Amino acid sequence: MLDGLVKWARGKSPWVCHLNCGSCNGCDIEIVAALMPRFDLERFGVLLEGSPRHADVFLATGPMTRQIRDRVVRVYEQAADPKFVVAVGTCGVSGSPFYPGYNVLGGVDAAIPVDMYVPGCPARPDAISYGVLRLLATLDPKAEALVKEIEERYDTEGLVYTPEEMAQQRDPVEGARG
Amino acid sequence: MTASAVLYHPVVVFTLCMMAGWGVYALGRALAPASRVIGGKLKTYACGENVEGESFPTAYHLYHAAFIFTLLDVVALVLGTVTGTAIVWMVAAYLLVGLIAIVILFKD
Ligand code: SF4
Repeated sequence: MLDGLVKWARGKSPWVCHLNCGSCNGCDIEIVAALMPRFDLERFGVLLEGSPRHADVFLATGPMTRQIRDRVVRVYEQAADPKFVVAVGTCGVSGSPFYPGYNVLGGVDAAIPVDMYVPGCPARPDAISYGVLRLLATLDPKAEALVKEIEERYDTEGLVYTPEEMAQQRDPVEGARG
Repeated sequence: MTASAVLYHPVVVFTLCMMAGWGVYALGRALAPASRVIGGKLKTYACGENVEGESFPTAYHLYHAAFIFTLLDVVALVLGTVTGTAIVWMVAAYLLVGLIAIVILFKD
């Protein structure tokens, strides 16, 4: 019963912390747009939190740069468990178009584990909302039903990728580069 | 001594409040997953910077005004919430401690 209570609470109030790893600010503005009344992520209990100590989900934007890497790892370590990371924007997903620049290590997953990828340059606010919802769906059955409803009504193909789906996407690119 | 007098006694109220706070803390502790102390988890959060504790000034030389305000604030709170004459000596003792704190604060 307690487990159910914890799961319910976690699914109903995922607090997010915005992490800029080296973004041009395009994706950051779209995150703000996703939180504002038009897209209104807050209706799902999502609250923007200043400190990672209080957050459950990191919304990470930008490529992972050499300068920021250690800081991002430290901030990630300082968040309470369980924690989730959503990589927002093509930079956050793969480091592109800046990878392989001399100071760019790749996407956000070059430093910390990522649970959901939202591509786009910049990522659209509705895609960010959908990505967070997909993440919530792993915690809250009601969010799962909502995700299914959204998928029936809209074309969500390619909006968001799980780590497994992303691995399938990446292989041909890596092969071509190799 | 009536039941309500016992219940409203400052020591009982304080103990009950402590127990309520401790209860909330214990519930959170029981529900939270076991803590994993990895890397800089226990370090001071400073937006990812690796700060050393020694680099912070620990003296309160800049906070005299805030300190005295807090002291007087708490003294006022204690005076304002005194419920009977029986604990007047407690208030007097508290004011004395407050006075000593202020003297120590401005000693230098
Ligand atoms: S994906 Fe585009 S908009 Fe987002 S941080 Fe990178 S360059 Fe900027």
